[in-house]
Amino acid sequence: MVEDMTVLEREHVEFLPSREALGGLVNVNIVVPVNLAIAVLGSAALACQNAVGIIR
Amino acid sequence: MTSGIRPKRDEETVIAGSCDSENPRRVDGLQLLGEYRGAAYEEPRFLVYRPDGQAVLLTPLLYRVLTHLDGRHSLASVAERVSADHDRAIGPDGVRYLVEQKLEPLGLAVLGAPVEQVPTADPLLSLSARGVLFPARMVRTIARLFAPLHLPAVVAATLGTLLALDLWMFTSGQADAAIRTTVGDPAAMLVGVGLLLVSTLFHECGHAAGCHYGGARPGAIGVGLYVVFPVFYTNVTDAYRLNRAGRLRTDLGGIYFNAVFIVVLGCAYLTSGYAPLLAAAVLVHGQIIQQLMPTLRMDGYYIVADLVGVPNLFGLIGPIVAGLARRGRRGGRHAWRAEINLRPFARRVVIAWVLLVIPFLAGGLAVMLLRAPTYIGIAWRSTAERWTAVEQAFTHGQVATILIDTFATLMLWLPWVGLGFLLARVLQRAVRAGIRAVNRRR
Repeated sequence: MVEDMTVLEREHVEFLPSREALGGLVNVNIVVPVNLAIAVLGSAALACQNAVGIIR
Repeated sequence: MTSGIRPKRDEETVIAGSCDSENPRRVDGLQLLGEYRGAAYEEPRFLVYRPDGQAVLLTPLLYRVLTHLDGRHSLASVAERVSADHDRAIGPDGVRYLVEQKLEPLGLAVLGAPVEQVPTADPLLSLSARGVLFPARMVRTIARLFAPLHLPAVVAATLGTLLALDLWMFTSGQADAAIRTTVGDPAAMLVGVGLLLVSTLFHECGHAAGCHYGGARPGAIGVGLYVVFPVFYTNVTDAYRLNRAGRLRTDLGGIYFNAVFIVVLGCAYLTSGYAPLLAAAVLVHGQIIQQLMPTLRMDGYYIVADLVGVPNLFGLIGPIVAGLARRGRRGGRHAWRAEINLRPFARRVVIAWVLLVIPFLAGGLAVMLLRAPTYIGIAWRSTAERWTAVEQAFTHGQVATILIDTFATLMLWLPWVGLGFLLARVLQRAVRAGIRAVNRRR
């Protein structure tokens, strides 16, 4: 008969986190998020503007 | 392993009612789902859902005890029943201990006073600033609608078409030409960005449809900040109840729907010749590659976790690191392996994953913090340029340029909002840990 509480103490409980399948809005890498955001969106937008002569 | 669990404070978390007698019972609405399937555990684990949706894994003995807590049997009677269908005998005191020390505090059973604050999983790297776009009921309708796309014949036809389309797209030079045409035209670029957003939302529908196809119930689709970047999300927590194939279908459903989207865009381009359609098709490939990253909780993480058979890889970082730190001590290895409770192959894969993810996350965070002044300076200057562009575009009535620059500015600052949330969570945990330490000393 198992009455040794030190044995019962080892009975294991694990909470699982809610499972959320993610989808990124932009291709931003955690290491250099801002650099990439600027590179992907900022420079592309600038290129568009330059191409059609909006700013310069 | 109950690390990363915190008590909820709001009144909604009072899920355990009072118990009139000494007979222990399960909390109302608890779901007993049997053995967690496709797992790599040495000793099996059993899955239960609390009424609030919290999924919990239990040992065979705890699960067996829980199944017999119907409120009609005394502790002695429960002990008899558990001993009869379990390989270990247990007495009434043992049952009382398990109920009072293990099951009741976690909001799974009631014996004495009602539990007012039950803990819930609270991983550090979780979504923040979230908002629901489509409630669960709507998502289930969408999932039912798209579930036939997961039929094997449809999957084979889609992937075959994708392969043919990719061969044509990347060998004919059409992809490059379409991108060059698109980035030179603000209106076309706006269409491209819009298509990428639609693709990402459709990706989420793929997860929901995969979850539904396997027999589980998907939850809401929404938006939030994950670590430092903006994401859509689909709640597929109920996929824990599925077998390994069902969980993997849910994991892969997103990028599979990206593939469906590419095929649709490719066909639309072949019909219309409109460049942004093909440019978006090319960029969706990038989304797929990004999703396969296994280090954060992107699709690649869940795919690795379900292939290996470990539902919560992040939960093993602490025990793995602690075990590696005390390697070599007498008896340490045996105790550690018992704690990890994984078969040898799975244990090796998880150790390799931990050794990959720690430097990645630590390095990423360090670079972010060290270079923050430079990055924020760049973002600030870029914002000023965007604002000037918006003002000029407003004067000329150029709506597409206004929208692109506004979107670009938003994207520039969102990572910093996300980093702020992350640092606030870290600080909050540190304060809580400090308070606990002080209380222990008193």
